[in-house]
Amino acid sequence: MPRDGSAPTEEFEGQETERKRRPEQDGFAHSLSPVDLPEPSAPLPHGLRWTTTAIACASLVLALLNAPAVRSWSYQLPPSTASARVVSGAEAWYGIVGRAGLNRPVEAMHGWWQAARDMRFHDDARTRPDQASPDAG
Amino acid sequence: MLFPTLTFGIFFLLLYAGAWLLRGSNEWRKILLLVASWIFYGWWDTRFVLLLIVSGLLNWGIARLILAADGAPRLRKAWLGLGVAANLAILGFFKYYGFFMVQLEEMLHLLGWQRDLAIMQVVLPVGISFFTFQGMSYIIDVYRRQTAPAALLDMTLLMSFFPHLVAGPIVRASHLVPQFERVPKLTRGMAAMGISLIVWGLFKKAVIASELATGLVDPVFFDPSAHGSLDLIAAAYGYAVQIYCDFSAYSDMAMGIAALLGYRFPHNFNQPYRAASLQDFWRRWHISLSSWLRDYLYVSLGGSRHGLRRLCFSLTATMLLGGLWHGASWNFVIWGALHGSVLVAERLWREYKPRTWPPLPLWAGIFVTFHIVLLGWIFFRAATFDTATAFLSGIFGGGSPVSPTLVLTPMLLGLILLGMLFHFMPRFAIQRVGMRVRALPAPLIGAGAGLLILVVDAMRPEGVAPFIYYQF
Repeated sequence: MPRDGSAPTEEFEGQETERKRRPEQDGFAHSLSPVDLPEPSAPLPHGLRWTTTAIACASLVLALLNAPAVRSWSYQLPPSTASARVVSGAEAWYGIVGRAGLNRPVEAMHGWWQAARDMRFHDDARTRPDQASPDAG
Repeated sequence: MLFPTLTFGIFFLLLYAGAWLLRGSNEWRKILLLVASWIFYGWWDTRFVLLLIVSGLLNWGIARLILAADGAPRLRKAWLGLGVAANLAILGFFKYYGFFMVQLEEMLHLLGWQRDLAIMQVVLPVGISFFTFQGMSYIIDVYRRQTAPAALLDMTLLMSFFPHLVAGPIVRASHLVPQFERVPKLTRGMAAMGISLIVWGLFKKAVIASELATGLVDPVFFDPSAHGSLDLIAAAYGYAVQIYCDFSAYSDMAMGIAALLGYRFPHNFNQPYRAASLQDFWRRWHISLSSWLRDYLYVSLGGSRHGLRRLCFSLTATMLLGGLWHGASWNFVIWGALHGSVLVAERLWREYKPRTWPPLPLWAGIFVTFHIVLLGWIFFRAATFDTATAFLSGIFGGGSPVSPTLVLTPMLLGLILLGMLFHFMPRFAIQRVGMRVRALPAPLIGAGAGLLILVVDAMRPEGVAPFIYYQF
């Protein structure tokens, strides 16, 4: 490092030509972070309110349509009185949304994906290593 | 606590609410973020929270001592040396103690010493390489007068801030501490990018990286000799895609989570397999580490200031140490040596190539560079040197291309191709998505994000494997 404590002026081999080469073809190339977007042409107010509403809606959608994941997660909690309550709550919720048919989309998608995973290049009834059942010889 | 889990989702929702409710007081907001970061870290092992606190205090204290010694250059340098040595001692003990003791024992056996050494089993704290590098960069920057000294709370939060704590990006004090000095403002653009990066990262990690790991890479690398060359080649390409999707997904989610809390992290990946030279690769892969190595190691070793020979030495040494940073294993040293020697070869080629020779076509540069990187990944992924050589002899040894237990499936092949395709998307595609997202109504974006997460959840294998870079 420089003895005078000044900033190093040279470039690492792996970085040398980046700044020279960068084409600056649009407003993103100057950004220090990927989350920096160019200013909008018209102001977009209430950032916090907008974000909170979006997060709340996403959580609601997931709570309604992904009850199987909530139920599965609850069974993985370390056993305790509190987790037993979480499990019974998750089971009750799974039942409520299940009666409304809301578990069907995620279960159907999971089934399609599973079928795609099971496709093989050749006729082979063999099971993939990560799918082997524990009691298989 | 892993990002793509419901436990983390609940943790984040509570923290998001708390952090923005406390926006009236920046100090209390930062205290909340600090305590939350310790809870996040303590989820693995509470003992190491103390290490994190001690490391933060150490670097803050050393920076204060460097400042207090202003006007006494030797004393400043001595404090810096002590600080760097203390950080390296922490890293060395937890990460390299076992490795070096085993090497020492083997050497003593060769010299005729027959007794075994009593070697402690040291548990590796998650993310120790990242937070010690962060601490070192802070004291070096203070010494170089490139960053203003941080308050104790800011310094501790810088090192402990949970989005980057365990697997980067390595965020420097000059980038993050100024952001800690006031309550951040959350714009719709930041939030839109945050949501987009989280969903995108979730897809890359939970679907592509996890599926390739469990279905192809792990079983083939576990025992290469049991597989035909087709599976071995697919596993090598699969690992290249897996490690990119896994690590860049972590960076994307870290940036997205930080953005929703109001903070900006720097770029860490830029379509690395599109690189036309290894020099170009290191501008695109793990950018925060490569710039760290450049500023604090390569420059300190002499860099390009003392002629070509010294430059070649600095490059090789930087890459060897960069390899060793990933872990105490000869395979990482080989990986670093491969990258270092190819970087040196590229530099010499640029220096001595006859001017009349045409440059390599771009496509050929990309092809050759990618396959050098791929060769490095085989050593990087293999558990031992013998496994790596068995893997390579399985590919090049002329055995049967297809074994009776073919692991490659149409879906795994499709995921490898998809992961490669990401490198040929427009560079700022995700930012363009973010610009569209920020202009749409929040309920629509929330519902859309929820549905996309639902699709990802339906596609991913059971359970979530830790991110690859957690082990470093």
